Amino acid sequence: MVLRIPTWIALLLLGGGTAIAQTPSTQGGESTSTSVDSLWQLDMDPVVVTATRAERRADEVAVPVSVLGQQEIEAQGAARMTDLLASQPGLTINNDHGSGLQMRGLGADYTLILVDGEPIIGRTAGTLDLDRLTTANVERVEIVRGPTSSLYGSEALAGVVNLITETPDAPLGGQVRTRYGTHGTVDVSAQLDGEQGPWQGSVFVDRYRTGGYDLAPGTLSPTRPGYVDYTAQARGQYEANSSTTLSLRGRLASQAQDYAVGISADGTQDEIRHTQQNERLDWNGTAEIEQQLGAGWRLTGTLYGAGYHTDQSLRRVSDGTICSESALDQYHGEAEAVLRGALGENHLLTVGAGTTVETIDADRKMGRRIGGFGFVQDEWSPLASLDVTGSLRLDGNSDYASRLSPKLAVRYAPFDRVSFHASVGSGYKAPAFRQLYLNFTNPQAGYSVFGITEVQRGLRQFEEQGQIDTFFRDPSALGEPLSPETSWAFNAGVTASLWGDTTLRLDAYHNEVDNLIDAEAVARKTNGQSVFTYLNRNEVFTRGVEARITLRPAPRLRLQLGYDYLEAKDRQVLEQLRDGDIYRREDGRDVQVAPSEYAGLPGRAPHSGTAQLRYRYAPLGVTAHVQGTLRGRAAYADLDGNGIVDADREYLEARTLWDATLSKTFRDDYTLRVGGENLLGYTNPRRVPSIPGQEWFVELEAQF
Amino acid sequence: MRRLSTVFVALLTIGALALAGCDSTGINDGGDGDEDLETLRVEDLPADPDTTSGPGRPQGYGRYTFFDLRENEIVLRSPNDNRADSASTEWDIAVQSTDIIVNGGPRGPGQGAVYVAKEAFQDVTQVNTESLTNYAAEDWYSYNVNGNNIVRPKPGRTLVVRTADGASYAKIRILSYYEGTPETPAESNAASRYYTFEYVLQDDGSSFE
Repeated sequence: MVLRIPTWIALLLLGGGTAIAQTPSTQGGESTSTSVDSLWQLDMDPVVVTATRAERRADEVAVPVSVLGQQEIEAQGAARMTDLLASQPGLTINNDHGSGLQMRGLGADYTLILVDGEPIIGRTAGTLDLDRLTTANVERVEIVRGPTSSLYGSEALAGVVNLITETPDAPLGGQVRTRYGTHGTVDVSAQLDGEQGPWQGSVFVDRYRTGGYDLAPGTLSPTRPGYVDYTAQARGQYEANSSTTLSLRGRLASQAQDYAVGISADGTQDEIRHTQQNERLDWNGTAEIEQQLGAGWRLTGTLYGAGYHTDQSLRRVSDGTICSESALDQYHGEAEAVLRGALGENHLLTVGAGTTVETIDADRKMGRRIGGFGFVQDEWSPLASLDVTGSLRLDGNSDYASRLSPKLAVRYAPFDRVSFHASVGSGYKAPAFRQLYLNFTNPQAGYSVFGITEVQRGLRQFEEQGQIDTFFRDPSALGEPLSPETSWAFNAGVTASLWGDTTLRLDAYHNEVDNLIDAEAVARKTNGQSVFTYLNRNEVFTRGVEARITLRPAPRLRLQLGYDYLEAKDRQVLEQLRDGDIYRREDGRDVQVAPSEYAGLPGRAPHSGTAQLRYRYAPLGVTAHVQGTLRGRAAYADLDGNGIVDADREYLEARTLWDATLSKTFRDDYTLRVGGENLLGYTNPRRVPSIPGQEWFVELEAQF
Repeated sequence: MRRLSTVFVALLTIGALALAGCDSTGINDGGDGDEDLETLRVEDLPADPDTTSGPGRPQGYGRYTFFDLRENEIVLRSPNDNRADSASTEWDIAVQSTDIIVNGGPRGPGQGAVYVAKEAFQDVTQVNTESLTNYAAEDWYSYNVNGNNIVRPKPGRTLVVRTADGASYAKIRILSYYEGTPETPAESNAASRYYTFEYVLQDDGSSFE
């Protein structure tokens, strides 16, 4: 099931005449394992759909994209999306309410994660947990760096990651995969797909179980509790006639965990055994109709629905008392129509519009917001060597300020082996549900937090009850709609074929993010506690350089090296540093911190790098993959109360993780894979509990 | 135990005096030939600590502990039901949880006032009397910076206080909010609402030099 791109698609796109971009269909019939060496060329120019919402060759796109093909995904042997993405250059996994993706110095809140072009919902504290996503049926991962809100709207501020699942490529085919690994990890998946006449369909199921691990055996609760995850996915497609295609896609996933928690009584070290149970269920479904209109124009209509539900409870084991319980229900619905076609000789136009509805119903927040959007994109090729892509999207919403997101990208290839690209664009992230709808008063502490749609009503109620001591802000000036968090980003770079098959890509970027939403005290209650609400106030910037080199020192050997330089800082902190307002405690004295001593936002390493070496020997069906992921010294956390990382002990040391995977294919259809992760056994239980130490796995895959 | 703490404070004060006396680096020594002002240290002043058991936010009596900076002693503790002393000018500052108030304005019958200087303790040499407009110390700590609910006094923040009698000034540097002044409160099980602080009292003018 190796992706094959019909060359005619590429030619059509190049010619600009007809732009009938097909779904990335693949041709059946050819054996996938005998001609592997010839497929190496495909690494060079894969197709991407995420950058422009339609197929383009990756090396022709003016914005930084990278593509992980099926060969790479399989050679690496990662089971969950977290592990697959962690080793990619420029991507970092940060653990905060789940494994979230950090891209270009921006946290998990600011990256849009798509499966087959549709957004996955369900974020906890902004993090979309990548452990929810299996790699077993993913045939391609596309990573677009830089804001793409001009096409996708909210959350596409740092970038977009699109997971493309496998499509049927034979009358009847499928695969079964089983995997066993450290920490009691068992992963079993099966896929069945086929096509007959105008019909195409596939079904996929996966069960993943891991036992978790404990790096601090002294306590009752494990460092990382285990979980069981089920994913089921199905799709069907029907070509009603030569110009109309109907398709249905659905995905259902559930995850459950149940683990011991020790809660110590006051003044004692004894832990009382509790059990924490977490369950989550998420699903999404898409119905799509694609109509060819003639003259190269195509209309796509999509209905999309998604739901996300969680249930959590904490129970005392001795008597079954429920100490806390919470539930959350979230829904997302979307209807969209997109028209795409050629205009004249050298314009490719995409126009889309749609509407969204989102609801949240949880213990402390409840709300419903309705949005509408429209976007337009023009891919203009005035010269063979010049591509200019402009796009613009307007998002309006019932509960936050509307947002216009433009983007302009230029690619210029004056020589065969060198091309230059530059882009400027704006990204945004909608206010989170809690920032709009939260209505919470801590029963013990007595402080209150209101989302912006609730704050006036809440304050009025407190005032009537005589609970307000002082207003820090005029309450009538509160409740103005929050602005989304917004950014402007610049990117410039060059791609060059240096010698032989060696390619180099360099990018420099600058992200200026403002209107960051933060909680602020707006009143003091008579009980001495504060009332908080959310306001747009902070600004950060991130900037850096990305370098990627691909070398082919021998015919079967490929080496990819990546280096990233990153700077990510808070503008308010820089201002306070310049004013001399930030101090640190040193040998019993308070000394001013110089601006140069500010490490920037926590969890960002200024220097990081990756190395991926792949060797493939087709006659024996052997693939070896070795990868190293270096993360330089990084800001960890403020420990001395000055709010920033500046002292030595507030840093996290540099680390390098090495993984190796060996695959052997037998009789064309059976693959045995063994691998080791974190071979040197790096751990730091206190500061990096997400790294469990050395892990091993063995996997068997059968295709038919 | 609690009874002992006053003795403890007194002992420490003597210790601090001794230390200040032989401190050649001049932590509190501003000028030549001036009389040295002592830096006093108060350890684990209870600010209405937790009386409940179990996890969650600490809950005490919801009352202040009143402290006399001039005599370096506790005037009234939060558990004490007889609150008569809180209406006196015996006390200069009072602490309850993270709230620090002074004896003046709406907070007490005295002449007290406070401001928080954005300056290192040793650099606060002169009281800016015009800034003495507040009766509670604001913005002296950071909370929950790493998501572990820890209160940390901000370095480089110095409380400047006028005492209840209006005759003296003190500058205060808060060192810790946790019992025993642990280096990393997040990693210890130390109880919160125990102030450890240093201060210098000036009963002759508004200069600390």
